[in-house]
Amino acid sequence: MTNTQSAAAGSSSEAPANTKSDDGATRRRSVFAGLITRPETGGILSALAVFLFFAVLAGKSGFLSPLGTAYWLDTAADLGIMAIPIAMLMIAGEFDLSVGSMVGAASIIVGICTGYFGLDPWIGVGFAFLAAVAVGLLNGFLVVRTKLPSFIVTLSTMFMVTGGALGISIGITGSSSISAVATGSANFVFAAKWYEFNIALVHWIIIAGVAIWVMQRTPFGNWIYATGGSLDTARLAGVPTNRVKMILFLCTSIGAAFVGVMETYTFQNASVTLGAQYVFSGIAACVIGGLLLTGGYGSLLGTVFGAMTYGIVSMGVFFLGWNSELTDLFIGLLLLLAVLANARLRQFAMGR
Amino acid sequence: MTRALRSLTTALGALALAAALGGLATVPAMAQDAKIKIAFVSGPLYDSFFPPLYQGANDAAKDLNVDLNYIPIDEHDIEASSARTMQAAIAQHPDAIVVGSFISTVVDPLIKQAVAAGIPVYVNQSGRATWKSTGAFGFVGQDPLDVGIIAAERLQGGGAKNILCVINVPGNPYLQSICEALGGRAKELGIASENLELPTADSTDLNKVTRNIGAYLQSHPTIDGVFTENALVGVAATAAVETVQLTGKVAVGTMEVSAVALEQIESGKMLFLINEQPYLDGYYGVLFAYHYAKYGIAPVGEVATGPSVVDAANIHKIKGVFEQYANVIGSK
Repeated sequence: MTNTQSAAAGSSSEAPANTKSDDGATRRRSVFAGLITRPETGGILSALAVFLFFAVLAGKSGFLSPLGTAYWLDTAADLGIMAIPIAMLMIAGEFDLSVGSMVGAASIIVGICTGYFGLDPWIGVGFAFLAAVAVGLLNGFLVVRTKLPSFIVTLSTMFMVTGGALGISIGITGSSSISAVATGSANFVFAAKWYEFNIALVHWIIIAGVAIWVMQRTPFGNWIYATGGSLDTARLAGVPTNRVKMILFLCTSIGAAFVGVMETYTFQNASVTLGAQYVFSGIAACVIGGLLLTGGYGSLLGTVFGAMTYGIVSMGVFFLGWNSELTDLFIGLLLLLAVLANARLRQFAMGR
Repeated sequence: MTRALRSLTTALGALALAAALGGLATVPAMAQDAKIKIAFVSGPLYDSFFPPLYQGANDAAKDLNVDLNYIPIDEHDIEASSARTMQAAIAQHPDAIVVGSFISTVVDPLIKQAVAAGIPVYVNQSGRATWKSTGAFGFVGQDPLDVGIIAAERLQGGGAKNILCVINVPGNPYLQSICEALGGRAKELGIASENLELPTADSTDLNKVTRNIGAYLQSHPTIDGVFTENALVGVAATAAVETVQLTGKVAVGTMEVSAVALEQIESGKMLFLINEQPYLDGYYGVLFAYHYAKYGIAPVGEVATGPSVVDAANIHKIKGVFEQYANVIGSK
């Protein structure tokens, strides 16, 4: 029985097929073990658990209302769009700490172009994405060339991006916060909403869908897992690991710029500091979703549910009506529980 | 080559030494001729409150031909950076220091240190409660308690019976004391109040702040007045009020100025905003420090730059100036 279980755990995706036993109990156990060892299971269970928690404790005060639902989904969507490329990069074994500052930089670029100079909203979007490409290439180039830990490289680009954006903004407009209103098609693409459900939800579903397809069905997806799993082996096997990393750094930067533009046009205000929290919540979403910080392991579906968990927790606390000074403590505690449960689940499933 | 370089270095060193000695020897005598050097320790420009203060300080420096060094603290690491920036200011040995004492337990001992080192210090914008005990020669800014008191009175005048005071930088004693004063005045007026501290992680994400306030309003239906301590959070509050479909039932007032907040006062969505007039904090800070460093004279005690209320009565004048001059009324 233990043998069957570990065999199933070893090749999680084919768990049921590996079980030859006719014993119904073992079979069910193995299906269970197969499910439980999938990297996304922890994220799904975390999301479910916190949802039930708030549904019971805050359902009556509006958490389950259409507004409450829209609120946590919107929060999850903004974070989720950020987190997908972050997760891909983390699976490839690298970090990008500059994402939060890129959100603010994209925001203030849009603010300067649209709000200050009154240009077409798409011109601001264009410049924001150009800046994102530049920052992404710089990150990728520095990491690949210097072989320094990306944690340190992107920590320094984080400061550079924030400082640069602030300098440009103060230099041109004299301010670090500018109102920016999108019109026409740009307003629809970045800021449309139905009731309180933001268009970010649609983007999130599309981006997550495409990314999951890339990870599971294309050679590039395999390259990402291989790069993070064992860099040298991957290189020997002919995987262009440098190119993989460059592309992924580009993706995190562009993802950040996309969220920056969206949030700016939604709130109609650009700010250099917008999105600074994503450096933490983005990684949190990935880890809750079952990613390992060491790379080579994880699932983007898990990341999707990790973002949902964060959205539910960080929004749900406001429906509880508890002492708001404890909100931060409470969010941190729930996130810790989610990650702990996830790790425990994996150990349990591995039969240890 | 090497020798040439070495002798050049020696020559430069000797020059620098001579300059330093000369400088030391002639500080008192030089005061009337040389450019007055002022170090200005205050908030960071990424906080939309501070660009007008910075502008005011710069305008004064230009008008008075002052050598101004603006040293911004980092709000995300407010205690440690309050100390670091003040130490940097002292180390430069300017003719005067203007400082915002945001965390008085950290900054006040350093003010004493500066005063002991012979540098006159002027307290600016924050630190009204404790400046007298530091040896500083004066204070320009506003009493945060006045802001809370006026906010409670204005919101009650707008029909509020239960006021929500939103603190957007958790743990900031200045913002906290304003909400406390609001609560105290509300009690005297016979109405209720409660505080909402926004989580640190959300402080820069205004869409999330809108949702946070919306969720709180929905789960606390007795709230009929909201006071925020940042103009962007104020706009988030009016957006939340609209979303929860309480427009007209929940009055919103805010601290600080922004383009949208002014528009919303004009259109009636927002009841009022309280302007501390940070441009004056910056301008008078430099002006008074300059006068004191140069002539040894300054206004006695405290100069109040706020709270000044912008509402339906004066919105046209204020909005006009806001649009015409950058960073005088507030950040654009």
